[in-house]
Amino acid sequence: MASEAPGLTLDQDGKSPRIRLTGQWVLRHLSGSINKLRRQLARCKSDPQTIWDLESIDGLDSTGALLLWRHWGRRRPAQLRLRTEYEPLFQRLEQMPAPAPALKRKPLEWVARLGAAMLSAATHLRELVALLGQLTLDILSFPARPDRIPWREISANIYKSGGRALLITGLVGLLIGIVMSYLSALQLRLLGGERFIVNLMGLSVTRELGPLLAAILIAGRSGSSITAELGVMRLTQELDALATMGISPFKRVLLPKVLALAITMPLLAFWTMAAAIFGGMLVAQSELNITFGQFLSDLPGAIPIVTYWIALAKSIAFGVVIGLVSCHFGLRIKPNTESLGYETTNAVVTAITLVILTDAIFAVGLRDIGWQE
Amino acid sequence: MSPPSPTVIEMRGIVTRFGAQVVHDGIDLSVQRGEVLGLVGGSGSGKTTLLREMIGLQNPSAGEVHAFGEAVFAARRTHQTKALRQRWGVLFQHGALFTALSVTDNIALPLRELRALDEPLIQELVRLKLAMVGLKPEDGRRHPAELSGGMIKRVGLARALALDAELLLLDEPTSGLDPVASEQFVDLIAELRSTLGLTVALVTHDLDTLVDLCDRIAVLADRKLIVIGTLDEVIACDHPFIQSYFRGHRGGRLLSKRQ
Ligand SMILES: Nc1ncnc2c1ncn2[C@@H]1O[C@H](COP(=O)(O)OP(=O)(O)OP(=O)(O)O)[C@@H](O)[C@H]1O
Ligand SMILES: [Mg+2]
Repeated sequence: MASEAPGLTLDQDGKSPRIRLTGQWVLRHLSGSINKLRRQLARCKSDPQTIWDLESIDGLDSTGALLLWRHWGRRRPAQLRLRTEYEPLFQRLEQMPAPAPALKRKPLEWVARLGAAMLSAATHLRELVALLGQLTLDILSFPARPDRIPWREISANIYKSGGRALLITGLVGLLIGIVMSYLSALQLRLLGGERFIVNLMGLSVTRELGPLLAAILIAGRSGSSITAELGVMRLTQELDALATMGISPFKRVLLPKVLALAITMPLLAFWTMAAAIFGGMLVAQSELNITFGQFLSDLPGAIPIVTYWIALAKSIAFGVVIGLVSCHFGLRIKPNTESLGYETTNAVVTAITLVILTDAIFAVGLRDIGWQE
Repeated sequence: MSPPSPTVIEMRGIVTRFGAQVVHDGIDLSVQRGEVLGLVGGSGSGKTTLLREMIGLQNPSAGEVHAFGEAVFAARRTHQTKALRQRWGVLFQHGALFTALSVTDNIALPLRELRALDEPLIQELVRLKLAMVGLKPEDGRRHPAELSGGMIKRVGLARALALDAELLLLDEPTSGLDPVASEQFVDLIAELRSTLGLTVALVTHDLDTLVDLCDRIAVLADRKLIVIGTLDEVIACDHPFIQSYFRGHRGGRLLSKRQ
């Protein structure tokens, strides 16, 4: 098969001009020279006498045909020499339906969009509350049917969101502990209050840093994975399949995730605290000559017991917030890949923001509790 | 077709293993220019896998694949890949449409990727392809999630046709289509074949498509290519799989109608 470049020659000799097309008028050969051919075509004034001779063409596909068709003003020229096998191409072009009418842009669209954004914030809130309510109802139904508690799912999720996060939370806790105590050590040495490192580290880590650090890490780690997992289940209609089997996706899929987070969050928070305090101990020993033994014997006195309760309550709240938010965004995912990425980002950003907001609420609400005189 | 037609796809000694499971055990297959080759076989006999190996999506455990005279899997890493890939269009078994793009953008994507055509021309080409597969211009605005199963197949076909490639690889093009649409599909492929000199390799379970469209039929069973040839040659083979596939209740009825 010849693979000639497409071309055309204008022949003025005879009574009427004749345009002869040669070569491969197919996309693969056209794409390099399409503009040149367009210019050549434009030079051929198409009057009714012109003979379009396509008989010596080596190949023609829809792109080539369309190019000519557009040049001809969307109709057959009066004098067209065409091989029969190319007939269907032009028949299709003749029968081609008109383009779908463009969608009208509504006036004042930005007003509508602003309103929709406000409403969507309200919708998010309503749906989150509804989700919380649904999950609460599900939990309340458990005592009546203990055999229906999804133990396996809960334990699998505890492993996924807790067990596998131990390394990262521990590492980050340790590093933050080292950085914090190093900074404080410098200041405390100036003031001569070296032993206060224990109080400073102990209190700030247990009351604020430990739970918050762990929650932010888990919001990024488990939050995104929960949202993406639910999103893919939506994409692949797994949620629909569950529903048709009479298995509530809330009970079987969402609830175990939220419960698992509520259980693992406090555990991870205490683990992070321990790592951060260990980091503090390392610095205290190397910078301030406070031995591990001294540090550990001062520690219980420095942290009032209520601080642990606050940390526990906070962490559970963080876990529930992360679980709810990521499930909520997971359920909103539409069956396309773009929405998957969009809602996953939303879930993580919202979860972290809400975690910090919750932390602030705790801080303000409990501002008079747990401080030693 | 003229007797010494060059080979478009040449597979030699293909062995495919997934872990301990052997799917293909020494398959030799060639697709000749201008023919329609039907690939049949039971579910899980490795038809889709063979198709994926033809276009270099999957590397066989052993054996060679050449497309248009070039080694496919080696070409993956060279600049030749692109030129090679513009010479075939592929319809995946499950559509594999880009869910984030509208139908129009799905079909326009390979055309835009050429960076040679202007947007009005692309839009019109898309409209033409949509009409070819029996979809309305309005359908172009929809997203894959809003399509029915048969529509997904049609859009996938339109996308495979977008570049007017010389070689079409179709994985179950008519499954999920109603009988009328299947017939239109058969007519469309027959027409494209005469205008573009198209070569087609298709997987199908649809005996009608097989009988109406395919020049040669390749049958996969027992990890081997048990026979390849015209319908009559295939039926003449007395392998038990072929006996039950073509001479079973439905196959027999169809073939008797044909005679
Ligand atoms: N990525 C993979 N990993 C492991 N096994 C696979 C993989 N892809 C395919 N298989 C196995 O290879 C075999 C052939 O699969 P293939 O999809 O090619 O079948 P098929 O002939 O197209 O079947 P169907 O008609 O049902 O589409 C099957 O047994 C399948 O389980
Ligand atoms: Mg398959």
